[in-house]
Amino acid sequence: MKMNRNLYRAFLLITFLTLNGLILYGISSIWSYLNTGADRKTMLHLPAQLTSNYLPKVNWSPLNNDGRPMELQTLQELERDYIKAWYVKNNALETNNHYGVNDYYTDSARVKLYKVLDHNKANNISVKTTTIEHNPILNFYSADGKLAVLTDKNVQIQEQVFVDNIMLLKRSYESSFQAMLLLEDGFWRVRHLVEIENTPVSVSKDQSIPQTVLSEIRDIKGLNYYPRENPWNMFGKHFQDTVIDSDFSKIKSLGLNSIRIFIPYEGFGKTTLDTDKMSQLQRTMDLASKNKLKVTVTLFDFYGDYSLADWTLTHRHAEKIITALKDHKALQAWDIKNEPDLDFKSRGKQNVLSWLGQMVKEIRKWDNNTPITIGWSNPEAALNLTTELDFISFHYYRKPKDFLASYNALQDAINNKPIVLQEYGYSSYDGIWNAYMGSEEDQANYYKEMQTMITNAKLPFLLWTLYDFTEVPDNVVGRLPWRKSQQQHFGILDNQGNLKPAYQEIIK
Amino acid sequence: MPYNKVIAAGEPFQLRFKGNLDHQLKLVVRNSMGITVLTPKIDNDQFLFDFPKNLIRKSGICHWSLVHNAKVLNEGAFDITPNTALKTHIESYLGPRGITAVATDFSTHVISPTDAYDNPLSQGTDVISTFQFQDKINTTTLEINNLLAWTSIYAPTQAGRILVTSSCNASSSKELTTIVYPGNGTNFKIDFQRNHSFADGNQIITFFTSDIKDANNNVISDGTLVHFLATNSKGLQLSANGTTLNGVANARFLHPYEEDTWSVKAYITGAAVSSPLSVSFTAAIKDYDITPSKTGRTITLENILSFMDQIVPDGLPVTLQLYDEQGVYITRIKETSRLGKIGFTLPREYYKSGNYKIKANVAGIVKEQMITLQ
Repeated sequence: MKMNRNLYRAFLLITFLTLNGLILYGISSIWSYLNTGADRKTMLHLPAQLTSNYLPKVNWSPLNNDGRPMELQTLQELERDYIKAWYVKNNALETNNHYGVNDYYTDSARVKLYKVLDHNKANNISVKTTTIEHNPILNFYSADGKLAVLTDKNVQIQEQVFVDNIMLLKRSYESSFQAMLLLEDGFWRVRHLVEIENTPVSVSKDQSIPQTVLSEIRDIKGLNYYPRENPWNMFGKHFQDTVIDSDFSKIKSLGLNSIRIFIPYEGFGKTTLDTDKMSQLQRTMDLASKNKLKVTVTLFDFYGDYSLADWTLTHRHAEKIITALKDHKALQAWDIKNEPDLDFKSRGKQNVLSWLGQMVKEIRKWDNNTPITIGWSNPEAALNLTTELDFISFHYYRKPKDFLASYNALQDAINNKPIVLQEYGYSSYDGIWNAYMGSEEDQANYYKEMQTMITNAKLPFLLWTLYDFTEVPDNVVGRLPWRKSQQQHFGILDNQGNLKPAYQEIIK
Repeated sequence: MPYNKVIAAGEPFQLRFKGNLDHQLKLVVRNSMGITVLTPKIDNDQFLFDFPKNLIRKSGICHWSLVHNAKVLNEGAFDITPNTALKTHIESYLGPRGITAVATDFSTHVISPTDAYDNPLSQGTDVISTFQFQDKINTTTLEINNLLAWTSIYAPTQAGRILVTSSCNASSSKELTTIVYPGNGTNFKIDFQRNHSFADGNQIITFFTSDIKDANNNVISDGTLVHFLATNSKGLQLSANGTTLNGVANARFLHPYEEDTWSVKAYITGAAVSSPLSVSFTAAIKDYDITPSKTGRTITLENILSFMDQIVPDGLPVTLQLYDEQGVYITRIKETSRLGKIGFTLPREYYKSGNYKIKANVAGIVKEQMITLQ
């Protein structure tokens, strides 16, 4: 009985305390809610900070508009908001969400978009779309600077239509539009957007690469280059041009004529190119030129997002690098991406291929004289996009005895475009992770076998790689020590710079 | 792509397809405002796609693609034109809403009529723009080009208001207004008014402008800032500002303390200037007395009388300069008068006993005297 009473007391006491606690918590929540006001700067209705999330190419025609002469500053604002209007529309069509539409469409224009969105939402339709290029002409700008009309011709659009999350249609096309924009609360908002008849631009010149350039590709004898001390991290604060210069002269003295280097997408600052690294890249190219080496520049290293939303950003990244380097004497070829076929599984083969295909088209807009390739990870993957590319590159890390068969199969499938063995090699790693089964002699034998076949087939080659490395970053082959250790011993020179026996098999 | 069909916005539109197909058949439709997918209705052996209202009400080119299992079987496009059979809405803009009565200034009247479904009307549609100023009404017929029709309404030579309206397809817009402000002022004259001409440092002189007008004889806008600048005979400048009311601005200055002649000009910065005006002030104070005390330590300047021999108003600035016997400057003391006199005290702590020369200045009248401090 007494026990019960104590229990009863304890129960009452705890309930009382908990109840008080809850009441206090409730009151304090209400109190703190009432004390939080709206952020004052929301009154200003500032446009969202212009982050680089949508950067299609915009080519304005020379200004010759009716009404008031256009100011450069206003034109930039008009372009920013007009492109943002496309961005929010694309976004809305993908998510069926009204987010941001208010800011870039006037009251009566947004209703039309909302109706489409509502229909799509109800029927589980979503559309991923992006525009690659806009060619606006300013038609009219009013005297008070509050109204503008533009004609946007040959807008290049990419589109993927999904119903119930299954892709129904994927296509790319061109359209032309006429838009009327009003300046309201500091935003140029779309008042009317009307599709007009599109006149395709006739493709003017022959875009094929001259045979003389391609014959240089057939003579490639070289290697994939990273400096010994900072592999996969060539540019940045570790960049040492003296080291690169002496490496290049060493490569030249080995009798090679070509190297392949890598430009990391994020490392180079994505759309806002890192100017320091860019000048280091220029310096590297100059040193290659000084040492009479040709350079295959591999773009988009460590890039892995191929979504439509990301396309225009990658285009701007590539545009900046390509326009900066396209006339460089040392430039041999553009390699769009290293082993993109490894992303087929995780990103969808179609997504990766359409991104690559569009990138080829984009690169040709800026540079029509440098051959374009893609460094496929194996000879089978190299069958993709063969018509788009100027020459075919593949990597081979399998057994030498199967090489000829795979190579011949590839050659049969490709008519008359140069084929480059862009990466191959053998690790001389001899340690606990392969039970001390490897050796530098094995590597030499590998090269002996490979080089015979390569010489007989007159196959241009870029081997992997110059040095053994002491450090391999995690994002290259993962964290596993047996993988890393293998990767550290692919050099034809050891990490002290001494020749390994394999060297004798390559350089004769 | 040739357009199979041209329809007016809002007209019902259907596509029918015959064939050995199943429910996987979809129609992807896009216009400038978005992309959507339509599902067919089955009508006997035909697949019927009914276009929803929002699609057929949007003018411009509408594209369709017939898709089956991710393959495009057929595609086409049709042009939807604005529907003028229904009521036209007029959206018009006028700006700037304030212009000046100068031949080069203008407002632009932009008219963008839409059909009942908010589609801008077709290229070449006639639009009438009308404006009224005073007893004149002008009408211009315009054609729609690039989604709108526009005209510039140039400023008349008189200030006032211009009212603007427009009409299209028997619909009229509301009235819009732009105000025609007078132009910049032109050169003008100034004059002054004062109670007397004596330099007593106490009265106020008011300068005012003539009616300032623009080139077209409109009185300039109220509130125009006029800057008055007076230069005295020593080259020192005094300034005051006034704003116009009915074309006249005025500014007030205090009379000087001593005989002087001012040269006065007024400016509307960047626009207009007045002709110069000369104003003379005669001396109000003619004389005064210097009375040192017995010890010489207190020096009183007294009997400072104004033009009617009245005691000068309090606050007249007076200076006393002190020199030693050799005429070397020692100090200068400033005071203001009270009840027509001022006392200066020269304390023993600062000024040793001996002979000094003092120089007093009251309203420009300078007097010198030797004194002995005990």
